[in-house]
Amino acid sequence: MITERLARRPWSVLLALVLMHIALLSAQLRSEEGQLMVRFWAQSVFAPFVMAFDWSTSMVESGFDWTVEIWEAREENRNLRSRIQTLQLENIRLRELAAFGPRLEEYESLERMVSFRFTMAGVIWRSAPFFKRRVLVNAGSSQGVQPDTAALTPRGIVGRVRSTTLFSAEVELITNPDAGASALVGPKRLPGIVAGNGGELLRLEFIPNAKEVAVGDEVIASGADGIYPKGFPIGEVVHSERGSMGQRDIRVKPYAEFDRLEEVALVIADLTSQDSEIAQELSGSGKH
Amino acid sequence: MNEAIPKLEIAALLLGTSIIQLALSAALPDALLIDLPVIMTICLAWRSSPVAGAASGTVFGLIHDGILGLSFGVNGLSKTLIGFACANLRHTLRPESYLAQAVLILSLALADNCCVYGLLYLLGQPMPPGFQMDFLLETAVTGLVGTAIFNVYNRIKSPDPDFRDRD
Repeated sequence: MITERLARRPWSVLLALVLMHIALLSAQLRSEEGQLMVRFWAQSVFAPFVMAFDWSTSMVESGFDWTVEIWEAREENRNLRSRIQTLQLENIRLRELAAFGPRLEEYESLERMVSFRFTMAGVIWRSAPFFKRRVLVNAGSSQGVQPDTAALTPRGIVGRVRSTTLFSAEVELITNPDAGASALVGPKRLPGIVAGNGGELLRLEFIPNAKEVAVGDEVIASGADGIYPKGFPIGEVVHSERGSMGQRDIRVKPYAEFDRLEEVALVIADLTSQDSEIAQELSGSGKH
Repeated sequence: MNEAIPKLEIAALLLGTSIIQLALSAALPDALLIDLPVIMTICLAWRSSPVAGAASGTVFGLIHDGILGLSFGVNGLSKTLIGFACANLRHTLRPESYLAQAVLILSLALADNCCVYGLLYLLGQPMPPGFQMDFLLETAVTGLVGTAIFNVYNRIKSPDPDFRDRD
């Protein structure tokens, strides 16, 4: 039965016999190094598959490692960005502190020169269309700031507080048309009123034509208005001529630089130092 | 003429061929060495089926490899192919004259030798100097002796001089 089946498939038998002989030969042959050729051939045949498998597994492993590294790098990048932002903010704060240092010294000298207590307040907002007339500062009634509190810089007066909230206050600049302060001008300390007119210069009013006021004369606060400390510098005369109605036409340039205000000192205690020596010292320190 | 050769006959032929080939290997120089296994493969394959021809070629070839000390499979493979080819050729060729038979045997012996030397070359076996002449002489001797044995064997198996398949 098997013989008949084999006889019907002579080519299959031939193929089987040929393969058997090839296997027999392969099992006997050795290379020059003594290695069985069948092993060598098997290695030659299977090596590409083994290499491909090894390459695939290494690629998968590398891909996994790469993904993990990317993920870790992403987290690290996020942390570094956060740190950079923190450092940038810290840097800005330190630069601000460094810039504020000299100004702080001026304020401290101000405190030494006059006997009143004040609180520092940063400018947090300016009225955009009229940025020279009103500013908002970050100190309010919780810090003892009240309406009509004087706002100063070491250079000169800034204005007065118009209204307060718990943590902020609106300061009306002296250049505002409605603002004014009692003042003394020149070496003769002629009394007058400085008033804002909406521009950069102030008007000094109620000085008779008969009095002499020269350009360059200093204008200081007289303290009569009960707001600004007596003797505190306001500005200097930049224009003086005889005017109508028997009064001189005098223009005063304020010492305070309203367009560069960053912080102001708000007087929160009653004025106690009103003697002329301090006033003179203040007027001297206000010159530039 | 696709007849079943008795197993005893096959065994006797195998044994006789082995002994004679072994004796010839010791007695004759390489060039005159008769390839008796290929002759017996042709004789058996000519009177049997391709499967039986290939199987007899395998057995005779492996015995020949053992006698010559070659790697097992060299002659086995070549004689398997010769046996298979011979069993198939008998349906196509009808060598009536001695010359035709001689050409047939010579061609098959030449093919067998080509196959053996080709395999040895592929396997990287070193070839002795002047092996080409040995190759030709061996083929020629095997062809001539093979023609004689082929005729004798067929006369014994078929007393009728026309040993062709009458089917």
